[in-house]
Amino acid sequence: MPVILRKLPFFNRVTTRPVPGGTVPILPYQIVLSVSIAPTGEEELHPRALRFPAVLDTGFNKAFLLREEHLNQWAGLRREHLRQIGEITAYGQKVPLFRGNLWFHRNVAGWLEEASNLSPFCVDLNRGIAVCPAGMTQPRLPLLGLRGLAAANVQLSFHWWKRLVSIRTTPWWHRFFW
Amino acid sequence: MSTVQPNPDPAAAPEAVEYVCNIPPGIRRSQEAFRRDLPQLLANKKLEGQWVAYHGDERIGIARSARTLYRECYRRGLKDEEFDVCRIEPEEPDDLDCTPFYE
Repeated sequence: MPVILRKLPFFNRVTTRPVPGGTVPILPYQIVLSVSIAPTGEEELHPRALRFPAVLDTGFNKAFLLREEHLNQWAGLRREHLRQIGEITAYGQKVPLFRGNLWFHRNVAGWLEEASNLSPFCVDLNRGIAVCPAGMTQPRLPLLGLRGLAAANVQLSFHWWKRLVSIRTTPWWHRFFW
Repeated sequence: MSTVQPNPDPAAAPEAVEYVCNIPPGIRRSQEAFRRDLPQLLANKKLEGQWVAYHGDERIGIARSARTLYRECYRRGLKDEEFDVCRIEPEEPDDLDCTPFYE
């Protein structure tokens, strides 16, 4: 059962994470993954694809949501690079959905640091990546919702005392035990 | 290194761009075919959670992984705007506001 994130720490205090052009505050008990976005059809993530933080939000019922500024400045993409496949409503406004893949960057076990020797894990997002058009000021950070995890078919496990989370792929035989 | 503010000042936000829906007709047709077939697909419990690809009215295939279907579509020479790959699961209305609770 390949491990995607191994004992990734989260914190009980405010921390910061680097992003292109500065840092962002991470609130206590927010689990933050390092991700990249790429158009579908790319079998491997381009080595120079930008990485940026995304909050794991199991209360968000879509796959992935970010602002256009995040897409441009953090992911290094423009909406013209992606194909629109639909739209959703968020924050009272219509928000376009684009076809794209999300790539999870693996970490060094027990650390936030990325494991440069491990290849990133690709998630085909059903109904795509929602991009809040320029001018919208939410969400503060990109959000990975429950549909994104479902599309990845992964399992989460937590160690609450040590505040660690692991994400693994689901083995084929798993369905026989549920 | 500067700090990105957690709650940006709306006045400082980039100028709003008027949103125009721009879904290519080929993708729309494929989605209509998917919606037409969805009740029948959902009736087969073994298919729920799997993926299905459409090129207009033509069903390209069903697979456990979306990537398998993307590969097949590209192998057939289809362009990005000519097909769609959808997960077999109940749909929800587009106008249902999904605003995240916190962020």
